[in-house]
Amino acid sequence: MRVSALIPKYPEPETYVGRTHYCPGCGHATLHKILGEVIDELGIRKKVILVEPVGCSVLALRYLKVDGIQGPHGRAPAIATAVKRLKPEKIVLTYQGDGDLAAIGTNEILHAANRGELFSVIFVNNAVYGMTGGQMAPTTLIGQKSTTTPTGRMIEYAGYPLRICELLNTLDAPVYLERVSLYDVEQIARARAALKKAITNQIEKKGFSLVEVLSNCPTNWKMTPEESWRFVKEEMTKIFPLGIFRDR
Amino acid sequence: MPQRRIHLVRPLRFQVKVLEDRCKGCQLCVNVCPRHLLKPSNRTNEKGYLVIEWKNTKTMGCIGCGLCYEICPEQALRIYAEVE
Ligand SMILES: Cc1ncc(C[n+]2csc(CCOP(=O)(O)OP(=O)(O)O)c2C)c(N)n1
Ligand code: SF4
Ligand code: SF4
Ligand code: SF4
Repeated sequence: MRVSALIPKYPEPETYVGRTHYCPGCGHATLHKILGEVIDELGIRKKVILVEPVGCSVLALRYLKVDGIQGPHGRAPAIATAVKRLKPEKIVLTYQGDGDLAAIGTNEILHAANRGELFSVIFVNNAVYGMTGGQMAPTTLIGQKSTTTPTGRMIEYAGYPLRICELLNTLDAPVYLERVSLYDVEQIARARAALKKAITNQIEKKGFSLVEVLSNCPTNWKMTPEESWRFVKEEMTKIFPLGIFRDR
Repeated sequence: MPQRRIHLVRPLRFQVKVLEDRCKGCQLCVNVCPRHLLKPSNRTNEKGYLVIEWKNTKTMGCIGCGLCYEICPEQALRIYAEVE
């Protein structure tokens, strides 16, 4: 048998360039990768404006070859609102962590969702403040250790984990709310489909879409990448059930 | 996503190339490969990460399933189909 050619099984990625600064096995890189794949597939690279947050993913625009703006902590929805209203032909995405979206920026996301702004939100829930060294986030699990809850999160002191999809599901305006994860290949495929759906909703001018992605932070959780994904699968999904909350 | 896959010719075998400058040695691909073809090497790249090595075997070799590609956060793996 003579081998005459080598055919790549996957097309060379255009949007995602890799070589990130993320820790080995961090879900941010996986999410950038599938976001890049979706943008490539929809052929919208030149139309996307990505509002990157404050947090580990503050340099997302270095790894995704799209236009964008870096927003102040939690304020990405305000910027996205302005951009989309001024340039409705653009595809506007925000990419936000849980410290960003669910703590300092809760009011921003709540009102943007309530107004039914026509942009798509990618919400990365890794249950801690990653960039600043692993402090408790509103999404930290009960009993989970972090630098600010060294003996584990206590309800009496810090309340309960905040469920953003469920919270936004009480509003009238959002058209699509889904929680996905990245803990194995099947979930990665689901997450990719969810991102595609959220962006397609925007292209079709349906309304506000949010995809919550359960992710990991091996460094601050002090786990190996493999262990961290097992924690997401076995512990996080108990508190944050996966699934579609709304699809209109 | 069917348009991402190539099915025009019947591949003989598959080859996986590791882009060592991208690999971070997270070992997620090691655990996902059904044929256990990816293993940590004893080399580090310029960033100091222990890179992964792909070694095919004659029997029970790579089936081109793409699981390693799908799980790799850095897109450090490239899968090629060998065709006649
Ligand atoms: C207004 C403001 N307050 C606080 C900070 C400090 N700060 C930087 S990153 C961060 C938390 C980011 O956590 P998260 O959004 O969960 O993202 P991750 O790093 O986990 O991806 C904080 C509080 C800041 N940069 N700006
Ligand atoms: S600190 Fe956590 S969230 Fe940030 S890059 Fe490292 S693993 Fe990812
Ligand atoms: S998954 Fe990618 S980055 Fe991680 S060890 Fe394998 S090839 Fe390297
Ligand atoms: S394509 Fe499948 S069989 Fe081949 S190295 Fe990757 S995971 Fe293993």
